[in-house]
Amino acid sequence: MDFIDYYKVLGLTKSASEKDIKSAYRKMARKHHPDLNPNNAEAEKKFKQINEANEVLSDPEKRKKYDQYGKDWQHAEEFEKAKAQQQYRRTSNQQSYASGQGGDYSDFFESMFGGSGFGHQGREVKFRGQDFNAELRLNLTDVITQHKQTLTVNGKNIRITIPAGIEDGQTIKIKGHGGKGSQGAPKGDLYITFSIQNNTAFKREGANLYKTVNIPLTKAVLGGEITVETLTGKVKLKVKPETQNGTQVKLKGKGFPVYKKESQFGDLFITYTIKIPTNLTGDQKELFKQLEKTNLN
Amino acid sequence: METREFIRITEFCHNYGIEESFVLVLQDYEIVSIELIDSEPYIHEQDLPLLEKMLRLHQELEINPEGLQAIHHLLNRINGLQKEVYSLKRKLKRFEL
Repeated sequence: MDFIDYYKVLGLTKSASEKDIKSAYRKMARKHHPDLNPNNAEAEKKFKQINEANEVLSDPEKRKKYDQYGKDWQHAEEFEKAKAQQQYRRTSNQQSYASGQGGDYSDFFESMFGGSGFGHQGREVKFRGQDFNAELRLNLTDVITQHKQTLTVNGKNIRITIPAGIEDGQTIKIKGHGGKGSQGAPKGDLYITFSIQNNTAFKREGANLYKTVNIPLTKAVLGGEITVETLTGKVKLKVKPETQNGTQVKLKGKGFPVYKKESQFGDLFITYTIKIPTNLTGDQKELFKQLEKTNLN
Repeated sequence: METREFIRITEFCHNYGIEESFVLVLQDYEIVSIELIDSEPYIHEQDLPLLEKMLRLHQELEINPEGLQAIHHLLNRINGLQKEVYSLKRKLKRFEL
């Protein structure tokens, strides 16, 4: 267990007055308070350290114990007993004690002062439990239809319904699945942010889908029929004669499901890219030359 | 506290051990809105996390109502900017395909 220099945590020296401690605590707590640093785990950790330091240094008794034993806190009780025995026997024997080692920060606090925690300075405030944030990665094809999924959050399995059409970056709130509240206050909520990876050939904007399709030059000029892949299968499309490069056609209702609106779908926009033929044969080149002679624009 | 659309302010204050005046001051500073139902003040259930956040900031950091109003405004701006950054990143992703 590592020794924690609470003075250093608050940016103080051992000679700091009560006023200095209060002032340093306020200054640092305002900077690192989790409510002022949303989604910042580092700030939350720092705030916990600051609170712990303040808990010890602002209480004269705890501060005295901390100052007296410092890093040798682990054997403080042992030392106290030995001292009492020495006084009783009126001997001059010295009891030796070793330094603490290994472990983490909260253990340090609890070993020295017990697991009393914070907020026991005459105030019993009920706090709603902490909100949890989680990220769920899915493929675009996973959210075409509504489905159920089981998540494990803090060791607890939660079965959630993922509505069709959920957006990348969208957050949903699961009420009461956050941390436990203090003094009987309600639990926090669980916020799940969806990260949707596009594993399709479509580009998605809301419920609309976009796709670029290559069509041969002859089909663009003379018109014809092509087969296009949509989310729900293949469809045949008529290409009008003299179709220009970049022409966009809309397939109504062939887009993505609209979030939380059953049986409603966006549109699919197809953009044509005209493919210029390569590796022409002699005959084909000759035909193009003939076309050129007709002053075709 | 059970989940429902409106929460009675007296009940909220009783649960959190605070004076009702705290919530009324937050309303004066346009941080939360209060609904009167049969002359009884209520807050909307969706404002509960915000009210709790303001209470924590007030009690833990001794921030006065003016400070809470400024923080509320700035946090809303941060939230909006974070969403904008996310949305721009998503748009940028489309060009990277």
